[in-house]
Formats: sequence, structure tokens, C-alpha cells
Amino acid sequence: MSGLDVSAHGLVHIYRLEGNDVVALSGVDLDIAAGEVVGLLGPSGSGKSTLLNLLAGLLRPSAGRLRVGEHDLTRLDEKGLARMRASDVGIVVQGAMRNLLPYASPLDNVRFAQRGARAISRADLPEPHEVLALVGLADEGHTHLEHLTPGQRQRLAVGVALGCRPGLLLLDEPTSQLDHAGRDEVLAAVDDVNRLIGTTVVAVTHDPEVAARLPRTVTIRDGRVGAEGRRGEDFAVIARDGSLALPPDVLDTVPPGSLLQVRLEDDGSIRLVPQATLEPTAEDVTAAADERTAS
Amino acid sequence: MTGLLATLRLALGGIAYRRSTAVIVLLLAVVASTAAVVAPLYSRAAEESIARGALARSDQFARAVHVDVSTNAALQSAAPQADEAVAIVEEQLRSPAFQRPMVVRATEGLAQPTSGPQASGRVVVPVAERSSLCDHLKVTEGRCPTGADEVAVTTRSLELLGLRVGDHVSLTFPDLANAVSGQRAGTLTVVGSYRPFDLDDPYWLGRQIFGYVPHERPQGLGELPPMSDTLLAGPGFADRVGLPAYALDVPVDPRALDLDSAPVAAAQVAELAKGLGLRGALVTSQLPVLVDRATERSAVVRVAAPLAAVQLVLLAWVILAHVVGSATQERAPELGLAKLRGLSPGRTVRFGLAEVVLLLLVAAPLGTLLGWLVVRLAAEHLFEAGTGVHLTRWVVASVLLGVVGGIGAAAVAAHGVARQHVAELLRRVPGAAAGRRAGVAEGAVLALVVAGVVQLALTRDETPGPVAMAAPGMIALGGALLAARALRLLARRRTVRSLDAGRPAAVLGWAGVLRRAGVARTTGVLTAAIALLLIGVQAWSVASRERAVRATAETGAAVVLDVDATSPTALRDAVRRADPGADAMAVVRLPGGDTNPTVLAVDGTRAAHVLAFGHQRPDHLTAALDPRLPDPLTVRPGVVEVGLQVRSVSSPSPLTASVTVARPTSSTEAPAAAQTPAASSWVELPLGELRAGDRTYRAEVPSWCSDGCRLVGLALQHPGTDIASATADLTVTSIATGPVAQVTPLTTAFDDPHAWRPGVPDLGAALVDVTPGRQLKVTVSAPGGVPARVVHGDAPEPLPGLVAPGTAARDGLVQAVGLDGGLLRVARTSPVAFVPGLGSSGAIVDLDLALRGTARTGNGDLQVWLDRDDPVFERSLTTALRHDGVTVTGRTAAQSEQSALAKDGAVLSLLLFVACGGVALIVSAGAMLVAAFVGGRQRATEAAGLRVVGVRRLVVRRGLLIENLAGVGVALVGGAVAAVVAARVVLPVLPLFDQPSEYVGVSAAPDLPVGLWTLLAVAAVLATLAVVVASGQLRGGTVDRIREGTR
Repeated sequence: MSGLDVSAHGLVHIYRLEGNDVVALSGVDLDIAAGEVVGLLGPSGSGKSTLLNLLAGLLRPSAGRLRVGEHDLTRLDEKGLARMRASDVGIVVQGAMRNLLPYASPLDNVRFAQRGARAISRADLPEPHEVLALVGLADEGHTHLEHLTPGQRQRLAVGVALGCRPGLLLLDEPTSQLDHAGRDEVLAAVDDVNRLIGTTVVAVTHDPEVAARLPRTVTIRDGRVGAEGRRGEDFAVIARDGSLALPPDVLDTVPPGSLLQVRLEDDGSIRLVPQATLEPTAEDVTAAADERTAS
Repeated sequence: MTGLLATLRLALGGIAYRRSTAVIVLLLAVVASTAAVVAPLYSRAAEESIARGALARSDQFARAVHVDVSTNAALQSAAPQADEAVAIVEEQLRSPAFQRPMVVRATEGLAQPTSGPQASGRVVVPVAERSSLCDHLKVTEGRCPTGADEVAVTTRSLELLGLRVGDHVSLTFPDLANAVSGQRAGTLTVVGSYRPFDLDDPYWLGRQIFGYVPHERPQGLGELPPMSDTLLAGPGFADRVGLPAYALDVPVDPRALDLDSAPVAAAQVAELAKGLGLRGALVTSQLPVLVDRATERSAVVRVAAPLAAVQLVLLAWVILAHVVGSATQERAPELGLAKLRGLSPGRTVRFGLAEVVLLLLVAAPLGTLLGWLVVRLAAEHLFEAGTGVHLTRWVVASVLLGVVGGIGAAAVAAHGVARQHVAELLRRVPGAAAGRRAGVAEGAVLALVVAGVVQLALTRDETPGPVAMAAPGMIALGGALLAARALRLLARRRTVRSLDAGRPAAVLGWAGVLRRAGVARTTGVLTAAIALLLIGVQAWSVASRERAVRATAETGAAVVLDVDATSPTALRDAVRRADPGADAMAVVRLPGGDTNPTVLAVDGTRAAHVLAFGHQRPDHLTAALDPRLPDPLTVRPGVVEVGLQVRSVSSPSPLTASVTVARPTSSTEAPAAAQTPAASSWVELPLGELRAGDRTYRAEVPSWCSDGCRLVGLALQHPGTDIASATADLTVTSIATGPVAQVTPLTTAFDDPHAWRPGVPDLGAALVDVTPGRQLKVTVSAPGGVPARVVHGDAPEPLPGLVAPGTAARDGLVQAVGLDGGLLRVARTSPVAFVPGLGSSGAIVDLDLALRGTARTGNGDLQVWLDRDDPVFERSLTTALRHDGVTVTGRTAAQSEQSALAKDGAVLSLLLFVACGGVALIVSAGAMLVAAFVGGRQRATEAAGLRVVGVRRLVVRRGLLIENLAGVGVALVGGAVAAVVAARVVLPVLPLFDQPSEYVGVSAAPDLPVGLWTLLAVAAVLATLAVVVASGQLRGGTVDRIREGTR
């Protein structure tokens, strides 16, 4: 299966808790093209893991629209979501061993991950050893998990998620707890997967070095898309409703409530000018004179 | 197939990964399977044992099948000949229990011996022909008869008939077939002799063989000739003497009868009786009745044993569900993974169940084998010999039901976990357990328990056994529910208080209890198990006690020895010398008859200690037997002087007066006649002829009174040749004794109305009237040869006694046969519910008083009763008695009766009940361990977290101890309370015997020491377990635990 595209419009998710509700996502607009590799960045509690869980069908959106390939996640019931996870979406949760049966071999772990797909009669399932080869563990099919390195375990976790050859691979902190070598192994494996089979990859990460190596990053801030990065360069993103989330360093200068004048310059650039630094225009001067005359 | 193998491989891998939990789940499943097997196996084996016991102990003649064809019937054409009858019997009585039919043809002849003790007389000679005789007859001289004119004769009958082996004997037989002559003569040759033998061999079936009577036998107004033992004739004898009548005996081997075959055999007998009855043969057998009775006796165990076992099975299932629930909770992250990979809820549950199902499938055959072994072991040690343990289809069905029940319980538990959200399942630390609210089901169960308990308490005497058997389970269940709820309430309150008081360890511990629903569930299970164990132990202990009480009361004492002694007095004195500690007692059992009750004359000084009255011991036993009486009067060598004022005397011959004294047993100068038990122990010291006027009469006191002779009284008599009665009117003014010149008056207390009394009229009815006063007025009327007695009041008449309520009495007096064979009158001084060893009819009197009032002894069986069954004591006692001339001839012990009672169906059920409690505790301890293993990782992680944030190790340790011990403490209290409630309402209605004693009452008072010790032992085991678990959790609480990614 080739990659699946992802589309989120005004995505809202609210955690219903006793006494108070917590808004985790407050209108996320995000489009990911099929075969794209996207990193989700953001501080703790910003909502990036919530977004990942929504994409995996583990949480239901409170409002907005969310589509993964042909699956409209706002309309699917639990059974439909399970089918989607069985065949189209592979998930790697944080912590390699949490993705694996600790007593099963790598091959058996992959086979176990394919059960859901087999149950819905997916015909094009890869052989488990092919999956392991894809993540560079072709020779470790029968190795006990305790004997794998942390990097190998994480790659196995990725392989298990790829067991049903999904169109979308979701990774939650795939490189945490790994040393540099392990991190590189995992990133290389993910890159191979994307390159060889065209799987769309969405990875949550805190690691700026990892982010820098991803072609596209999306920064989630306060439940919304705060910025996007392309090859190491950050951009603010204008939402579908025209709103613009400013970068944090800009917000230090112009705190919330500040008035900005948005000017389209002749050279095509856009200038945002805070109210305090504005030079008076002719209309301003005329208006001020009229007020004095009237008084 | 590949998928199945992969599933199997994964399940095996999981089992190996969680081997500790798996082992315990396996053990619990084995126990559940064992219980499922034990229930039907034990129940059936116990039933069979009871039935076998009842049949084996039945009389072999009663259970055998007898076909009798009378002469009249045999002469009719419809009646089968003997050979045909044998064929019919063999065809119809097909059960292997029926042994080969034996043809018996018996008649009686008349012999006229020419020599021997009955020479010229007549002797009745029974002659019988039995099939297969030579296979069973042990001939002492000559050979077994094989010809129609040959017989074997007992050695004593040979003497009676004046015969020897090889002689011929002529007999006259009745010829019933020939009505004209009526007699037929026959000559038989004695080819062998044999000695009378024990007829226990089933071949003889208890038939009368030895009717030897060497003298004339009274019958009506005439006499019958002496009779010899049966002459056993060779084959063909009956035909030779023209004997048409015959009988068939079919012995029944009870060992070949079991629960299935016994009714079949009984039905075959009924069918045979019907078929042969139509042809004039009479078929008799008690077998059908015996089978019915045996089946009735089995009824208790048939209902009660499965009930007890079902409690165990249900408990095992509940615990299994609990354990599987805990184990499945441990696998929550794996189930989360399954759901994460898109497995449907059903497939997720199946994945979660694979390991448990595998364990259950392994456990089923193991449990079956174990159950079979357990019951086999019980059968060997508890049941009747030959009791079979069969794996029937019901047993297999029970096991399958157990497996299905276990899988069902596991499925319920796994479904509960699988229903959780993926995110919840994948959490590293599971969320806090929501406090369970008492649901409708919980309330309904408690209401049922309360209703059952109230019903039991209100209908004590009517409640059937099975309900009582099921009640403990209900009460334990109620206790479990309440204990689980109480623990949560307690934990909530303690948490708040500890927070307020700033006690971090207590907060950690009690909050831990609150957070985990499993703790409350484990507490509930433990409570039920402890309650079941305590109730079971109580029931068993009380039943054992009551069996001992009943057996001892029905035997009379712990041990009853039959002895030979020269006299009751000698026996009494010998026992007193041999056992100064009063643990043994001389008893003379005076047998009763149709009109007289049996009376026990006992050594009253020891009766209170030895007589076994069970729970119905009468008050003031000794005082009731031996009330306050005048002190005995004693005379010593010298003279005894009696002052008499004789106002009138009239007698056909001289009327002589005498002083009667009782000869002491230690005397060596006693008259020769006194050596026999029946000889008189009273000796008359003649005072001389009674004459009108006031004078002092003197008698010499013999030297054998050197130790003092008890003065029985005064006697007046004239020779027995006189037909006319003598009369006298006199006053006794004084009685004095001592050396000739130094006589001193005795304390006669003539004015005391109880000091002197008339003697009991002897045969011939001498009449005496005694009037107390300053001097004793006496009027006498006595026929010749019959002494008229004035007896001192230290020998009361009637004797005071303890009389059972079912004893026939007239005017408040019981009439029995005394030590001398004469009338013994007993006045009831104290009521007793029963007489030990006799039952609800009979009386007890004091042996000393009985001896004082009788001149002769000879009637009654001499016995020694022991208050305890102690071989060392008994050996020492019998040795001492033997040296004193008392030999033991027989022994009856209460222990034998107790052992017989221990094979009652009720007892066999109770045993299962105790086992149920014991196994329940083991299983619940296992459940506690599983909960500890499963929750251990989580708790260790939490402990590690607490340590990382700076909580001291001591605080964490205390917290873990509180968390683990809280449930145990509540379970112990809850279990004890449930057991107390159960003991109050269940013990009184619990069937302790198949058939209650007719007179020995039962006490349902709990055995408190046993209960306390059991509770303490359980508390020690569980507390140790809890401390070990807490220590393990603390040790596991290292920082490594909270490394990312570890599970």
C-alpha cells in the first residue's frame, strides 16, 4: 500500500474530566500529503500526542473534521476504527517494549501484529521476515528481545507497526531513550520505509536534532498549529480562518492584546507594525484637528 | 493450523514469561478440577461404602435366598424337582453376588441306641444331605460320606448314640409319601466323625446343625427324647429314604454387591419368587429389604456430600475467576497491543484467554487423576473394604463442567479487561480502582443469606440435613461480601484520618487498599475460605465429641470388662484395691426379662466418676444412690446380748431367736458353703429359744469376726417341718456386744423410724411388724422354716436408685431380680434420662446397699467399668485383679462403637465438609499470592517512584505492610464472625449421625478451644504470607523499575 494523505480541519478535542474540561486541541488545520514525512513538535501538553492518538483512531474528535486516506474518522465507529488500525494505520507508542510482546520472538511479534489484518482478509500482507528486513533486522527473527539493543528494539517496534504495511505510520517519540547510534538507526529505518514503500510518516518528537532531519515539521502550540518547518526553517502558518499564530519569540515583544497593523509592502512582503511604533498618517492628523475644533 | 500453532506458541511463551502466576493458576485449576471430580466420586463411593457396610454386617442367613419346596408341594406335579429348581435359580439369579445354590434335604429320624448313655432309650436324630458336603466338612476321623447310606456324625453324638466310626445305625424316618405305613426304616453307616464347628462359613448359612441335647427335653406336659447333632449324609440319601421336600440355599456375597448391582440382584430375587411361587415353591430372602435399608442410609451422603463439594467447586470457580481476572489485568498492556493492532474485542478476549485455557486443559486431567487418588485413598482408609472408585460418565461430565466453568469465569474476567479503552490498557500505571457500589446482585445475595439463616434458626428441629450442609456456604458468602465492603469503608476512614494526622505510612497503606479493587476481592475470598474452614473444623470437632459421648454412654463407660470373681463383694474389694484412684468400678449387671428391667448394681463411691451419662449427668449422683442411712452396727468376737421382753409366743415347735451377721469376705474361717458364690453370706448366731418374759439372750460371736461383722438384724424361726405358723409379740430393749465381761450397748436408735425395718418376706411369707420407740416393738408371724427378720436400717428396702423413664414401675417401685435371684425393689430417688449401657429402660442401685440387703449372691454378670480407654492403665488394673482372683473374660470398648459410628454417611459428609474448608483456605491463599504477584510489579513501580521522590524506605515498608495486612485482618475478623453465626444456626441442625441415638442427647455447643487454635493458626499463616509479599514488593521497588519502556 502506498502512503495515505491526512486532512484535519478545525480539529477540536476536549478531555472530559470531573469538574472541568480540558481543551487539548482547539482547531487544528493540517494537511499531510501521501508519502510525506512530518514531525509533530511542541512543548509538553501542547496537544501533539492527542493529535497523534486522533490520527490513530484511539481518540474521537470533539469537533472538526479528520480524514486519513478514505477514512473519515469523525464518522467511523469503534469497529471501523479497529479495521483502519488493522490495515491502514501503524502505530508505535512511546517506549519500544510497550509495542512488543516481551516473550515472543521478533518474527512472532510481527505475526501477532498482522492478526488484525488477517482477520479482515488483507491479501497483500508482507511476509514477517520481509518486514524485519525492511527495518534492518533480517537476521534477528528468532533473537530473544532481551538480546536486542535498544535501537534494534525500537526498529522492531517500527517493524511491528509496519506489519500490515499501513499507509500511515504514526510514531510517538521514536528516538527517546536511545543513544545517537540507536537514534540514527531508527531514523534511517523510517527513512527507508518512506522511501521504499511510500508510507506516510507522522512522528511526535521533542528532539530538535531529529526535527532538523525531517523534511517537514509541524509545531503544535496551545492546541493549534503554531508553526511549520521546512528543512530546518520555521514558518508561521495562516489558518483556514485567516488567523496567524506568531512565533513565541515574537510574542515576547508583542504580548497578547497588542494591536498590529498588517501592511502589504510593495515588494510583496507583509509588515506587522505594533500600534506604539506607528507614524501618524494624514488622516490621523486631520482627525485630531477636527476633535480640537469641536471642543 | 499455522495460526493455531502460532497461538499455542504465544500462549506457551506467555506462560513461561509469567511462570509464577501460571503455576498458581494451574494449581487453582487443578484444585477446582479435583473438587469437581471428588464431589461425584466421593459421594458415590461413600454411598457404596455405607451400602456395603450395611449388607456385610447383615445376617448371612437373612440376606441369602432360600427356596423351600415342602413335601406337599413336592408331591404335586407343578413343583420343580431339585435339579430343575437349581437350573431355574442359576438362570434367574444372574448377579455375581449369588453363589452356587446348595440343595439341602433334611429330615429327622428316631434311633434306639443299644449302648451308651441312652441305651434302650430313644434319641431324635436329624439327618441332612447337602450338596458339595465334602468340600466343606472337616472330618476328624474316618472320611466324608459319599454314599447314600453313609453319614458323618459329631463326636459327642457318637457318644450319645453309643457308636463308633464304622458302626451302623438304624433309624426310623417318617414316610410322608406313604400315608399308609407312615414310617420307613433305614440303616446308615457311620464313615466319619467331626467336631462341632463355627458356622460362619457361608456354606452352612447359619442353618441349625448342632442341636445336641443329651437329656429329655420338656415340652408341654410331656418330654421329648434327647437329640443328637445333625448326621450329615452322602449324596442320594434323600432319595433313598423317599424324602420329597428340599430346600435350596443361595448364599449372597455382599462384597460383590455395589450400588448398581444390589437393586438388580434384589429385583432378580423378586422375579424368582414370583416365578417359583406359581409352582408351589416358597422363596424367601431379606435381600430386597436390606438393599432398601442400605439405600436409605446412603441418602444422607447422597445429598450432603455433593452439597459440600459443590461449595468447594463454586468457591474454586470464584477464586479462579478472581485469579484469572488479576492475571488478565496483568496482561492489560498486551490486550491493549492487540486492540492497537486492530483486533476485534472478541479476538482480543480469545488472545487474553489462550494461556488460561491452556492451563485449564492441562489441569483437567491432572485434577481428575488427583481427585481419583484422593477418593481412592479415602476409600482405603475410611470406607468399607472393596468399595470401588469408578470414573463414570457423571464424573467426566463434572470435570467438563468444571473446565467449562473455569473458562467461563476466565472469559468473564478477560472480557472485563478487554472492554477497557486501548489508551487505558496501555497506561504504564493503571488508574485508581473505582469504588464498587453494592449492586442489586450483592444486596440480593445478602438478603438470601439472611433469609436462610433466619429460617434455619427458626426451624431448628425441622430443617433437613442438606439445607444445613448448604447453609455454611451461604453464610460464608454473606460474610465475604460484607468483609469486602467493610474493608473499603475502613480504608476510606483510615485514609482520611491518617491524612489529618500526618501519618504518611498509613496514608500510603490505606490509600493502596482503596485504589485496588483486587484487595477487597481477595479479602472477600479469604473471608469465605476462613469461615468455611472454621465451620468445617467446628462441625467435625463437635461431631467427633458427640460420637465419643454417644458411644461411651451406649457402652456404659469407656471400657466394660466381663470378669469372673468369687462374689460381687470380692470383685468390689479387688477393684478398690487395684485402683485406688477410682477410675474403675465394680458392676453387677442383673439381667432383666420381659417383665423385669435390667438393673446395674454399681460401686456407688465411683459411679459419679465412671458412669457415662453424656450431657445428661444427674445431679447428686452419689447421694441419690447412697442416701443418709444409720451407721452399720458391728459385732466382734465375744458375745452379743439382746434384751427381749416377750409378751407372748405361740409356736408348734420351739421358736428360736438369733442374731444375723454378715460374714466378712476377708474371713478365712468361714463355713465351707460360703466358698461358692451362691452361698449365704449371712450367718445366724443363735440366741436360744424364745420364751415369754423379760430376759437377756446371749450368742457367741465367732472368732472370724475379729475384723468386725456387720449386724444384719434379728431372726426368729422354727423348723421347716411345721405347717402351722408361729407368732410372737415382743420388745427389743437392748443390743450389746463385746468380750464376755465387757459388753457395751450398741447405738441401736430404736426410736428412729428408719433404723429398723421388717425383712423382705421370703418364700412362705413370714410377716413382721416393727414399731419404733424407746424400745423396739416387734410382732411376728412365720411359717416353719422361714425366718422372720428384723433388719437394721443400714440395709434399706426398697433400694434407692436411679431409674430411667422407660422402666415399668408399680406404685413408684421398680421390681427386678436381685443379687440372690429374688425380688429386688428399687425406689426412684432421682430421675435420669437413661441408664448408661442399658438405655431408656433400667435402673442403677448401689452395690454395697444391695449386698447388705441380701443373704446370697449368685445372680448377675460381674463386670468392671473403666472411665477411660487407656491400655497402660487397663493392663495394670487387670494384672492387679488377676492377682486378686478376678479374671477378665471379655471386653467391650466404646471405641469400637465410635469407630462404627465414624462410618456413618453423615460423618463421611462432614469429612468432605472439613476438606472443603481446608482446600478453600489453601486455594484462597493461592489467590492472595497471585494477586500479590500480579499487583507486585505495579506496587514495586510505585514504591520505586516514592523512593525516587524522597520517601523514606521505612515509610514505604510500613505502607506496604498495612496494605497487605489490612485485608488479612478484616478477613480473619469477618471469617470468625461468619463462623460464629454459622455455628449458632447450623450446628444444632447438622446431621451428626445417620440415625440419632434413642436416648443419648446431642449437644451442639461449639468447641471453642479448637476454634480459637484454628483461627490463630490461620492468622499466623496468612500474616506471614502478607509480610513476605510486602517485603518482596519493597525489594522490587528499585529505580530500575521505572526505566522507560520496561513492563
